[in-house]
Amino acid sequence: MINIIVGISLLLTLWLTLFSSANLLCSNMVLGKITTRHVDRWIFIAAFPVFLSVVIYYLLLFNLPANFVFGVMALLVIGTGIFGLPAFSRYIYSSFRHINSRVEYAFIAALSFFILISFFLSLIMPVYSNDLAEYVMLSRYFIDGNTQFIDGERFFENTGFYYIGLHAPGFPLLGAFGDWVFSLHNYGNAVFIKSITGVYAALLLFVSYLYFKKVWNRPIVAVMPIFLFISSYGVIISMVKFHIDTIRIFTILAVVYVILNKNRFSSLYYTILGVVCGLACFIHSLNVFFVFILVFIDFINSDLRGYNKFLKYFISALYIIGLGGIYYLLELTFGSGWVLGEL
Amino acid sequence: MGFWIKGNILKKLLPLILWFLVAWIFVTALFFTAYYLKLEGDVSSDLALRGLDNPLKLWLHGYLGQFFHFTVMGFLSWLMIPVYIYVFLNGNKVGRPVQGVLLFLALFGVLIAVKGFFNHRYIITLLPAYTVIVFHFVGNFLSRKTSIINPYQLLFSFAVFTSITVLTVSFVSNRTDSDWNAIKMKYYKWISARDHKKKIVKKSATPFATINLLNDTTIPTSVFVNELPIFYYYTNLKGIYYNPLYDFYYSAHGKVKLLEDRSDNEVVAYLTDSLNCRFVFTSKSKNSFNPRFADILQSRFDTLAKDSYYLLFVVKDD
Repeated sequence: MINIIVGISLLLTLWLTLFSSANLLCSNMVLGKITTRHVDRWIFIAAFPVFLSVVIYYLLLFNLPANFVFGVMALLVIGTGIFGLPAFSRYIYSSFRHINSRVEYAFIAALSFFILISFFLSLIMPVYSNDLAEYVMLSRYFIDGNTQFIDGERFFENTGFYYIGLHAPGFPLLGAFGDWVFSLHNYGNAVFIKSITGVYAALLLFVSYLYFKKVWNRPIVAVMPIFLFISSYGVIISMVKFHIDTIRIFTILAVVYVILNKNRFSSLYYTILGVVCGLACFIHSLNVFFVFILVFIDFINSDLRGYNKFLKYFISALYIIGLGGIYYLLELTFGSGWVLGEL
Repeated sequence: MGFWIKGNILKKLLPLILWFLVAWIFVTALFFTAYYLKLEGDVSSDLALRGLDNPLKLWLHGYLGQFFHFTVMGFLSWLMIPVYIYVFLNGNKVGRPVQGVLLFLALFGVLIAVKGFFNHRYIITLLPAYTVIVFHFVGNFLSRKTSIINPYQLLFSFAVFTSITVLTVSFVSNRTDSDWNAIKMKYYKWISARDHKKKIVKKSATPFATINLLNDTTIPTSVFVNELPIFYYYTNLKGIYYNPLYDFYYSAHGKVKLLEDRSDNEVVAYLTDSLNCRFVFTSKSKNSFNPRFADILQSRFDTLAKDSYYLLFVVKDD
């Protein structure tokens, strides 16, 4: 029992620190002057851990020692997280400031309960699905300093393991980061990587709640879609199975959201579009195709004309490649060939 | 005057009509899922577990899964049809970004139907986007306050009713009579043996008897792993990773075929002599991917251990 309480407390602390750091570095410093909307800011707070995994990827790509990379990242996150905690707690308070309904209190209580349950399940449930086992194996290799997969190799001769997936290592790298921090406290067992599913499911529900509250301005209406969203058995199963789906869906919906609200981001739209698209690609290979379709449709729909249009979207493309697409380019040119290769 | 009254009444009754329409879809969904899509035959096969084991199910759960896989998607895809019609007819009102995103979702839906239908997790990608879009349009529609009923109460009861119905459908569907008996038996067994079970779980390093046995026994040889990466996570043993569907295993030199051009005896000899594997770690569903490999396991191997997920075989001593 004490192990469970300690485990849940550690998970809560690490996620809070991550988001507090995100709030300070990304939301306050970058987004603060552009938008004050809660949905915008929460999307960027939630995208920060993926950005962190991109930074770790680059550092490992340049063959820096794994312990050094994870250590530096942990110091950065914990340092900025603790430093930014007062601002983050003020921000969380302001997100809920207008609560004036018992229904909304019930929703927040249910969401908190859901997060606790998902952390509890992350601690007690074994790794049993094939896909999760593959991600967890990659995470373990990254923590052990084996960056063979990042260099384009999929077959691990010493164990006989072969990584089959087509996706960039965003999810296992994020899991490796959390589990590296946890291993300092002898709390390995892929607990952090399993908790990612629950956290991003909660974020999906929370951000949709904020969106509907803003659009309809009636607390009870804001909670209604949540009923419908969680009524799908498929979503519940996905949450319990500890899979990549919730973070994959969150990142691609962030892209859809940014495109729908392009007017609000004014001249920074193309940078923001590039960033969210790149991060979406780094989480899942399916997102690469979605991003391609979305950006193509946005390009066709754009009011810009001629050279200016191409220049703006070229800037977006550079961000997409730099923040996620690079993995697929390297795989296509030097690695297994990605979708063109044979798995 | 008379025309105005008729039109006004129609407007007021519209939410009620919509409500009954949606309720009718639910009831249809309930019956459809419970009576026509229940599992039949060999439920251990991967296709049966995915609900794709006959042509009807392949079309309804597979290609058209967005509309008929109620367990996964609820009924949201059906409500997207009026949204598409509205946007198609009133393109200028909604703006180009919304049109663009809806076009994307339509293309994405087609992509999922053609390429990603096998895995229901890909369909779920549409769920949050559909939820936001449907409720955005429904909310705007109800905000006009043309109804004789409070629109928000209507929407609230609608959401609660949906949640309960879809959860019921999910629980009822994909179960056979034997499944129901199995659930009952599991419950009785759990009641009588829960203390005993607790002790077993506490003693073992993992909840899987097969893996515990692998970890507790000194195994001098490699283990032939039938596409179960969990083996590498829970053990420190060397495994040879086999793909049963395409019949090859991964080696340092690339993919190597196992069953092709070999008799059953030769396969067993190849496993034990060339690959130095006397143990096979597998599961019932993975065995169903390759019936010949499963037959070899049944006839030439002994079951050493099994648990709720996995099986461990050892080659029979001659």
